[in-house]
Amino acid sequence: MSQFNIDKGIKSSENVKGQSWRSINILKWPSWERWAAVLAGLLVWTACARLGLVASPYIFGLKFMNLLIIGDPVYNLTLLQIMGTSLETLLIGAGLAFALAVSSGILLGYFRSLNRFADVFISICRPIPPLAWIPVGYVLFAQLPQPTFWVQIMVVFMGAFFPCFNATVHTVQSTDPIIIEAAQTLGARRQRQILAQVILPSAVPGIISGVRSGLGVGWMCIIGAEFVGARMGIGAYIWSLYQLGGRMSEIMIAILSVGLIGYLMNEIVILLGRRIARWYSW
Amino acid sequence: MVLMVENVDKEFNGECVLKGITFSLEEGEFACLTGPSGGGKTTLLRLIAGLIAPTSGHICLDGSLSRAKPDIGYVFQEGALFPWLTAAQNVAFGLKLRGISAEETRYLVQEALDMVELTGFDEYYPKELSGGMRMRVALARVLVCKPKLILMDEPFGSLDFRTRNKIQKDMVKLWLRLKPTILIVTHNIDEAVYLSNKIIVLSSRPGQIVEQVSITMDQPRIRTEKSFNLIREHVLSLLGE
Amino acid sequence: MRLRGKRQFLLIFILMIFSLLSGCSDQKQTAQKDVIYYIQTNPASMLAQLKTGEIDAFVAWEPFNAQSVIEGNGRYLTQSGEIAPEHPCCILAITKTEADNELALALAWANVKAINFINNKNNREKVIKYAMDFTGKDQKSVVEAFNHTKYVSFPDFDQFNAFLENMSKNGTLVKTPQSLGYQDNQVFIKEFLDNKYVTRINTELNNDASWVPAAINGKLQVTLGYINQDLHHLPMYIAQQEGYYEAIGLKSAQNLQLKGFANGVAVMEAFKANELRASYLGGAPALLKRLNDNVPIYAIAGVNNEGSAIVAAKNSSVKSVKDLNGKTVAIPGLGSVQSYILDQAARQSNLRLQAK
Repeated sequence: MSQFNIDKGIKSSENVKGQSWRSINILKWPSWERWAAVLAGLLVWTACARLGLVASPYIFGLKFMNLLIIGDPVYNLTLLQIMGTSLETLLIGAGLAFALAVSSGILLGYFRSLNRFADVFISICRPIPPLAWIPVGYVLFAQLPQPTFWVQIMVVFMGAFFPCFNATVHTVQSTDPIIIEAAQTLGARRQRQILAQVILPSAVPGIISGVRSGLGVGWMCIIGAEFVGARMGIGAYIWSLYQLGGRMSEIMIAILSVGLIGYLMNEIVILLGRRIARWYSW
Repeated sequence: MVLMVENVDKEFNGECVLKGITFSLEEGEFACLTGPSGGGKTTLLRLIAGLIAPTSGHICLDGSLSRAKPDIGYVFQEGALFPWLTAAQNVAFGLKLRGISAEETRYLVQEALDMVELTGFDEYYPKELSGGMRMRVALARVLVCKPKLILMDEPFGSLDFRTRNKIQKDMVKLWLRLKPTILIVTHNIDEAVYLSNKIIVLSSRPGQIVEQVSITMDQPRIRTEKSFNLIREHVLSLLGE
Repeated sequence: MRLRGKRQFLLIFILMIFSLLSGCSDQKQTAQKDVIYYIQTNPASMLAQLKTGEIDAFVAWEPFNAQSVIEGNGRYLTQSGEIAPEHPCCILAITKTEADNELALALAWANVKAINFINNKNNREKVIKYAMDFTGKDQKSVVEAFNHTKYVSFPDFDQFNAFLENMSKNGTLVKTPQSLGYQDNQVFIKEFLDNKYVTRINTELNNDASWVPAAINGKLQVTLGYINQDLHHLPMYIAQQEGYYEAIGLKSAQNLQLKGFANGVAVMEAFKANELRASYLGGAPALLKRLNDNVPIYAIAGVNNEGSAIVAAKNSSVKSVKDLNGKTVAIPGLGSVQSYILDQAARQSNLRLQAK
């Protein structure tokens, strides 16, 4: 009888499932190199603190915990509450951007002539730094009750749109033609069937990584946008601290928190991606 | 007669790839298409499947000339499974397009997976399956639609020696059981002689039929038999090797 | 599979800690929910936002407060003098370098002369005219604004000490005079408020009302800053119009450049960037940057006391500072005199400020 290599199959699938968790950085026990890097960083930092250049790691940590639990006396809010406003803006702006980027990306990826038509506009708009839209936004939204809010949404939108749009167009265009033919020979004769049953599902991982980089760029943009005329959010907070003066440690803490949140968001999107597209080799 | 290919020419950008191809397949025939690489074997297969149109000539499936040929099953190189679907979902793909009820689909899918000896692998994604298993799923995906003709494009080319021998043996068993009409492209003469009733030998570009070799040996065959090797020698000599 | 569950648990655990940390502070806020929300914006926008109801009140310098009241959109809730009597407001500050003694004396003289001019009842009409020209506001607003502004030639030491202590308490000041090497607050303030010029000028002027200090070297280029449309900075405008600057050898567009800024924080940025020799600005931002960022500036003369106010929307139900609980109030910027006033007002009513 057939001695099919079933054992091997099970083993390989177990590997895959285990791996999808093991390769998530935050849940991984750090390698010794990582520990060494942290240790070396702390050592250099302490040395600089001894020379009076920066606050010592201990003071820094204390201030961080203070900002996290008690909050900043000037804002009377905790770091996370301040961050929350920025995150909210990010989610609204990026959400809108992704909705438009994915739908238009699929259309332009699928209809090549439409893509060639729109290419001129996209090629010109893509290299514009999102922050350059701030003055345009203030003019556009001057009549609305909260122009700053809409300007921020717009900047995040501009930042998040193109990475996601590009990724979507690219992933739709690079759908394996063999797979499309396979679907055709199995009876998917209509374009609509090919689009819905083949191109869209195969584009999911590409779209997710587009969302990932879009979120990253959007997060960078929101901090910059909040420097200009914002009332709330981590960018406005950093700017206020600068204006008050004498708060280098707090500014560094805020900046590093921005980095940390960006990193966590990235990991969360990867995590969700693994959940949604379990079939893909991430 | 299931398939009739009459005087088919195919040109790409003015260059003649296939010239005057004429052959036919009877129901239940297991044919192999072989020839030097670049000889237009895959092109001929794609012409038959209706993925491309011939420059001139006719291809007639079951008496119909139409280009859309839903009754043809095509097994691609390395399977071409949908990576986002599990084995069972891959097999069910064609059935869903045909509007078959969920319950019947489940039954047919199970039957097809059993047939290719993949019972219990329903929920595995293609990336979790080995190369041989992927080919089996691809075969099941085609078998479940009960096509009049199955086309296979170098299906076992990328498999290692042992897996390939095993899957060839299973293939023959399957053929003996269901008696489908199969046209398989291979550059492996040993495989062609082992599997088929008829070997269609193509010349190099432009591809023309050199000879159609009929094999009447009983299935399953034994590779070390003298008659087996005689046929092999003959086909090899046709290819000028 | 068991490993996977463990990791999932770990992730949830981390998220829980995070939400717990922020949750703690949320609870604290509900416990002491008594807050006044503040936003930062420029005085001109405050008037518009009060009108549309986007904010419930604002704290600004004159003549914006008076303008809002006269236009009928706002109403004085509290004058800053009621919150902190005789609190110093604006000062004339200079960067201290060796050769600046002459310049400091000359600028302080022009300032004292201008303040005397303003405080002289006989000049009333002229002063109002100058104020209208300088701020671009109508006569009614300007007259109303003068009712709430006291021009003084030097700030009070004790009041400045209160500034320092309260700003340390509310978290705006993070450095202490001790950290800059001063023995204590008193010593620091004595040096920061350098009254020797004004004292000498007053003595000389008492002897001879027409005394003019030595004209400064014509080659010296002086950039003098002030805040746009700030009635507190009227002495600068009057000194220019009445020819006091010319009397000390500073000719406009030759060796004197007057530069308007949006607010005190912007002035301090210019000081830090070495773009200013001297400037009119609020005492609070000057003190703040002197300590927090160790910007070497000193007050050589005072300008005014009080002159800010909390203005509420005319028809709102807000009758006192206590009623501002949960309401939104605009301030020109963190670290400004106005934000100090609002913070003091809030604390006196057992409220806290919170950013919105």
